Amino acid sequence: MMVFLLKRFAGFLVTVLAATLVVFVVLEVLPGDPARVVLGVEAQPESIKALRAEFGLDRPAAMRYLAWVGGLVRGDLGLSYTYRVPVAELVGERLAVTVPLALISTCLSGILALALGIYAAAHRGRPGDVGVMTVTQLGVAVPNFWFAILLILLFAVYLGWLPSGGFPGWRAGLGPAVKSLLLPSLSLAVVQAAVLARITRAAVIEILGEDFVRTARAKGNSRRRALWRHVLRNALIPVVTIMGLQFSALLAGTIIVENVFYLPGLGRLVFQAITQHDLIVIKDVVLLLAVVVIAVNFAVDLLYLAIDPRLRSRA
Amino acid sequence: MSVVVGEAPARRRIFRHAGLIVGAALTALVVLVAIVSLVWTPQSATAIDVAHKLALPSAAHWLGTDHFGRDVASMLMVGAQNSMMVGIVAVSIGVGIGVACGLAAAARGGWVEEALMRLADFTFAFPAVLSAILITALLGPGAFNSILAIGIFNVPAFARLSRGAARGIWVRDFILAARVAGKGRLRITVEHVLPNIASLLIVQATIQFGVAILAEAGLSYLGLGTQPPNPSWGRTLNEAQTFLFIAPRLAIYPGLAIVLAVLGLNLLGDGLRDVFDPRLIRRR
Repeated sequence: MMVFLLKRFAGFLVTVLAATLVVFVVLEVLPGDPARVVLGVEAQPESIKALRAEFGLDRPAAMRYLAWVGGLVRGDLGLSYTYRVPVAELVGERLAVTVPLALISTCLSGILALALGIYAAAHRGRPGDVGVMTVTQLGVAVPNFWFAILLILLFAVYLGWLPSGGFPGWRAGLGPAVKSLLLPSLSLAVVQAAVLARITRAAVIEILGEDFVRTARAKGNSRRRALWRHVLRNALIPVVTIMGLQFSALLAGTIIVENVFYLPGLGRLVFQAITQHDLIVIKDVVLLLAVVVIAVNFAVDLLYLAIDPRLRSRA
Repeated sequence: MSVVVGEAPARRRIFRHAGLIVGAALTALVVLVAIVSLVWTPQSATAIDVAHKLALPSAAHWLGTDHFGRDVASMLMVGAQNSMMVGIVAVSIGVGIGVACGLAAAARGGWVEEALMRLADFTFAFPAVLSAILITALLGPGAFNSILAIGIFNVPAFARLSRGAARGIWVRDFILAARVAGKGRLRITVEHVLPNIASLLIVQATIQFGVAILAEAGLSYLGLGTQPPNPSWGRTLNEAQTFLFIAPRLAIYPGLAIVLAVLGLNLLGDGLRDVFDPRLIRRR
């Protein structure tokens, strides 16, 4: 068990290290001068030279890589070129938007998907099931940013209940802040839930056909009790797997949806960094997002052990 | 198999075939529109006519005009062409590299397989938007760069699928017969393994085609994909958002186009899966 955990953790660290290498190589080693990217085509040679010195580009690539990774380990992400503040500070501020957004959407989509999937599986072949399957089939095809725009149309333009974008900050109070995160979370969650509900349904249907479920029923458990006590726990494995895989899609969705609603999160930060050619911010934020995806997949591996005791003894 | 075969009523089987038909029809429609737009659109898709901006639908402008007075119907038609291009190229990159890696991994086994599959796992950590951001930061935004990013994102999906399927084929008796007959790994892969997993790959390619269209729309919405003046569904949506309060219909059409195209491809993929492998129908 311990060996298994250590092995997994080592794998996690190696993957993170590989991610730093990829980001670094793509942005700093491949042809293209970061200083020229930042300053534009018409920059004077002297200013380019000055900036190259400031970025430390006159040092060899291996040294720069080690300095960057060393800084990351210490929590020093470097200085943003455009904002002239530490990137760590910028990222910290933006996380206060992106983390709640991702958490609320994940919870919402999980609840929605489980409810719909279990309902459809329990009513297999009946109108309720066909209805759920039709709606989710449609949901899979809907781009989250378009769904976001539709939500803005309904709740902000026509009904006027919720703001069409922007974020007042947590200091403005919990109410207004959560209110402005409601539509963005909903637009991410509903589209995610469509995929997840279909997976849940398929998993529950498969488990319902297993012998141990029949045994549970034969022992006098009601259908409902068998479903909740025996089926759900077993069906959770594929559902959690897909949730983990979907997390990277969710994060990608966050980048887009933050831009739809003008939310000052990580997605908006990295997007603005692109328009401003702020390579240092891009490098750090892209790495951070990749590490989060890797970490979530690692966490999903561990979650299996919690869900399925059989894996524990095997591990 | 513990599910009783007779359980699935004919009604449901027809429903599923109806899905295939609807999917094929929708896909054919989008392809047709894309092809027609190559030679004909009702109006020019890029001609600016500010005097008639934000016009309501009429005989001259079937779906009205946008804030520059451009014909929305024509822009959507050219947008279909754009989405098809993206799908074809991105899926080709994914199939070309991914399937080759997956087949090689299954044929060689050992450390080659381990290395290729770890690489595929790793690529999963970079969703299309992230790799697009990296590529854009380096090379600047553009249609080609966004397609490249989506294509790279497709590679691991095909690598994993084809490796898993190919391994199932490699243990079969007819492969053993082929090896006894003296065929090499490459020849067996091309002559026996690939044809046996082709239907699976076709289904996955159909699904990934839809995913690619969604991803490109997202990137173009962010301004990282197709650049003006070339119309794309994602960018049209972005521009429409500015006029949400005065002309909400402009935000409806491109989104509907995306949904119809992706829905068609998904239904087609699911339907093809049922046709290729009827055993799966019972299990669902």
